Amino acid sequence: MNDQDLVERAAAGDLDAFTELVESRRDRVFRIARHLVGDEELARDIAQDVFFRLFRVIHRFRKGGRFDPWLHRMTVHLGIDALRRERPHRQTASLEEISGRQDTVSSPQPGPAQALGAQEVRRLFADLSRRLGRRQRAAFILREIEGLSTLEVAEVLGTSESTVRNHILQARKVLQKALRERFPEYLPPERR
Amino acid sequence: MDHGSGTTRVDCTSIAPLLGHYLAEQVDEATRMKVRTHLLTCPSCSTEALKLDPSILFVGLGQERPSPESWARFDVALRSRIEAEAGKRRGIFSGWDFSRLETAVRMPRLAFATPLAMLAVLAGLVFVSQPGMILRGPRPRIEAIRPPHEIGGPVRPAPDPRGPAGGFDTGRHASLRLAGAEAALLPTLEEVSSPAARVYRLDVGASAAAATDGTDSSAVYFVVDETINF
Repeated sequence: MNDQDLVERAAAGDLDAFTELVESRRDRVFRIARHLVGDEELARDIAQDVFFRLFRVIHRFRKGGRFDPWLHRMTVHLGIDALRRERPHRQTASLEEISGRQDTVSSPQPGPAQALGAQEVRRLFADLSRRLGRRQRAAFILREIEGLSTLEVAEVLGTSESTVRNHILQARKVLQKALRERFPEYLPPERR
Repeated sequence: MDHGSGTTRVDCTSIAPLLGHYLAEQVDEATRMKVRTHLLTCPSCSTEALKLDPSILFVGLGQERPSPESWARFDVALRSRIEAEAGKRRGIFSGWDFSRLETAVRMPRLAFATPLAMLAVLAGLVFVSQPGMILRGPRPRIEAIRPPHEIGGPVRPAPDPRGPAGGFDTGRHASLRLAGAEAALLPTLEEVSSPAARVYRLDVGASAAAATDGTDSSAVYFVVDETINF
């Protein structure tokens, strides 16, 4: 059964189809929430809220509409809401907390993060991404980390592709500066 | 170094000149995806890219997934919330399908706009023609004060030996001719020294019989002075 059929069956009230939908999407929903709020427990709560809300509104889903951007938009909105509520009270989990609460399984980390430990890089991102605006952060997470296309990110954020590119460019600059402050070895040789 | 297989082989030498443009968001979507995919699989190119922009470190960070035990807890919690919600929906309306009803009563958004706009225009016209009317309603009409003899009021300036006892000369107003105790409840004209002023006395707070006896009643005086100009 393809995704569209699955969504349409779930929208028609088929609980098995809905369960299948949750199982196929929960990893990504969790990751987006996790990167947005920088906290595993909170991200799990957000993921649960996302799917619970999905259950309540899925009958309104338009036949032929695009499901994933809809789900991701819901995730980003709930994540940003949680950030607004939680940020003053909750600090990002420390490295010690993370290592003591290994609730995630990391597959072998490909790409640039391979050299550093995956947990370390995630912690670093959770820490540094606090310097980003909420939409900058959402755009960076969706496109650079999750690998969505610029068009898909624009659809999720309800904006244009050029705005998404601009958000990402700004986010890169902020992260670049923060990383170079923390790790001077990343500075270009002439500026060391 | 070659990466990929079959027809989609990407060479490091073709990626290196694109890195600067990729980081500056100056490549099209297809090229961007090609460079990104290559960076995720090629340690030497990603090291080069890190030197240009350390934020490349976070590209492809999203590989983590919660442990199966953690998802099992998640599923249990989500299912119990969903079952509670489904139970709430079933309740007294079990077996009812509201989706069609919802569709039937759903109106296009602009359907509400027309009557609202007309109402707003109407309220605006009323406000312009009679400022303040909407807030305090229409003004009460005040009758012009006229002398008692013009309106046939209960004035009894002088006793009339021909008239009935306790009554008053209504002349043209036969319907106001009263007698006995009822007549005692009407105001009487008091004598005052000023020719321009008239004082009426009304006994209130008592029954007709008591008023006749002059007991248990209060006198209220009305002064009419035509020389006073408000």
